[in-house]
Amino acid sequence: MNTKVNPITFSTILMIVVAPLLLPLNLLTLVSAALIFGIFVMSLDIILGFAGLFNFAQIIVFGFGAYTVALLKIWFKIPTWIGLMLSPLVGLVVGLAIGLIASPFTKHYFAVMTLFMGEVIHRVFMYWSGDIGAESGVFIFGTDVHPWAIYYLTLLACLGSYWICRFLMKNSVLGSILKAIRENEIRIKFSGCNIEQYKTLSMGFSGSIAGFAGGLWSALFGVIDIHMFHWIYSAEALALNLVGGLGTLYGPLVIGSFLTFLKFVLNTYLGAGYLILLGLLVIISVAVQRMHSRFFEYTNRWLRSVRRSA
Amino acid sequence: MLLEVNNIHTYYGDSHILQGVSFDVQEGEIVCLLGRNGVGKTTTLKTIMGLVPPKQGSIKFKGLEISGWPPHLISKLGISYVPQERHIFPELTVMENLSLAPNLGKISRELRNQKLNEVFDLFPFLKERKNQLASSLSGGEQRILSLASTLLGEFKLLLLDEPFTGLSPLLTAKFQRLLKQINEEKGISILLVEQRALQALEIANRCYIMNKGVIVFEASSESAKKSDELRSLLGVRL
Repeated sequence: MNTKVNPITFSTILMIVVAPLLLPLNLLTLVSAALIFGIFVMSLDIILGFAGLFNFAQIIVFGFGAYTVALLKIWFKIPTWIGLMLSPLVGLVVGLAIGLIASPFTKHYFAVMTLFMGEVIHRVFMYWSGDIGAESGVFIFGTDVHPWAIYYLTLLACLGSYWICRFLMKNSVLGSILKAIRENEIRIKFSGCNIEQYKTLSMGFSGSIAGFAGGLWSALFGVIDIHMFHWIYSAEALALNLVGGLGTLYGPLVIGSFLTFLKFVLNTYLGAGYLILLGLLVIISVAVQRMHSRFFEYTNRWLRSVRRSA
Repeated sequence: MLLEVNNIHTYYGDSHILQGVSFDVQEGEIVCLLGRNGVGKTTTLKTIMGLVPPKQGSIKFKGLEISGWPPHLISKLGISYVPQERHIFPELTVMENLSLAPNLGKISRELRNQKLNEVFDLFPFLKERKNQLASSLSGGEQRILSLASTLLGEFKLLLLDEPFTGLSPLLTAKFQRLLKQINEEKGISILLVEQRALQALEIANRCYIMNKGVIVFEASSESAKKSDELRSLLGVRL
C-alpha cells in the first residue's frame, strides 16, 4: 500500500504533539488558553453560522462552565477533573435555559434579547461575587491539573468537538433545519418544524461545548475573573466567526485560536489597542468576502449569458 | 367536511382585510378561490395556515378548531402550504430542500425513497442537480422545487397560492396534470388561489370568487365557466 504523508501536515502534527516538551510552561499555558477560546468561538458558529443568530449571551455559558469547576473546588473540595466533567452538562442546561427565553425572538430581536440577558446575568454575578468570597470579582482557587494534561485535553476537545459538530451539522436533520432557519424562517414552519425547539436545542448543544471550554479555562488558570464574562467577549467571538468563515467550524476554531494567541502577545505592546487591530481585520475580511462572492456572482451570470447565446 | 371556514375577520394593523369570509372544502375536492389583486385571497390562505390569526370567526379542519394555532402544528395536522413567492432555501442544496418536506420524518425510509423517486421521475432535472444550490436554479425551476418539496411530504389538504404564475404554458399544463393526479390517486384535497381563472377552473370542482374581503360568488367549475357574473367580477373572458 502506497500511502504518502504530506511533510507539512506531518511536521505540524508532530509540533502540536510534542509542544509541551519544547515550550516553556507559561507559553504552553497561553497556547492552551488560545485553543480554549478557539473552541468557544467555534461553539458560536453553530448558532451564528448555521442558524444565523447573533447570540451575545454565549460568554455567560462559558462563565457557568468556569464557575462549576471553581465553586465545586472552593465549596465542596471536589477535584478539578470532576468539575471539568460536569461543566458541559452545566453548559447544556444554561444554554437550553437561555434558548428557551430567547428562541421565540428572531434576528435583531434575538440579538438584543441575548445581549441584555448577558448583561443582566453578568451584573447579578458581579453583585453576588462579594457574598461568595470574591470581593473584586476574582476567584483564586488554584488548579490541581498539570498544564500538560490541560493542553492535551484541550487538543482532544478541539478535535472531538469539531468532528461532533461537523457530523451533526452536515449529516443530521438538525443541521439542515438550522440552515433552513437561517435561510427562510417562515418557510420552515410550513414543514411542521417547531423552530423554537430547534433553536433551543442548538443553543443547548453549543452551550455544552462553551461550558466545557469555560471549565477548561478555569482548570488551566486556577483563577476566574468575573470581568471575563462580559458580553463584549461574545461580541469578539462573533467577530472572529466572521473572520474565520461562517458555517465552516474549522475557520472559527483556527482563527479564534490564532487571533487569541496574537491578542495575548500583542496585549503586552498594544494593550486595548488590540481591539483596533481586530476591528480592522473584521472590516477587511467582511469586505473581501463580499467582494469575493460578488465576483463569483457576476462571473456566473456572465458565463450563463455566454452559454445561452451559444 | 375537511375544511370549514366560517365568518373569519382578519386585520393587518387597522386594515380590515377579511370581512367575514366563509367557505368549505370537502374531502377529495379541488376548490379554487378566484379574485382580482388585493381582495384578500392570499390573506385567506395565511389565516388558515396560522400566519395571520383571525380576530373573529372559526376555522375547522376535520372538525377540529385550528383558528389561532401556530403554523407548525397546523402543518403537522395535515395542511400543507405553497406560498406565492418561491419559498425555497437558496443556500441549501436541492436535496436538502427536498429533505425538509412537511412531516417527512413521520414516514418510513422505504416510502420516503419511493416518493423521492416519484418526484425525480416527474422532474428529472431535480435528480440531475440534487447537489447544486437551490439558488442556482432558474425562477421556474425554483417554483417546481418549492412544489416538489411540498409534494414529498404527508398531508391531507394542499393550499396553493398562484402556482401557475411565471410558468411556461408547457409547465403549467404539467402542473395541472400533476395536481389532478395527486388529487385523484391520493385523495388529497386542494384549495387553489389563482388569478388565471381559466387554468384554475380546468382542474377545480368548485370555485369561489372574492371581492373586497368577502366571498361574493360560489358555483361549480362547469357552471362558473358559463356564468356572466364570473366574467364581470373578474373582468376576464373565458
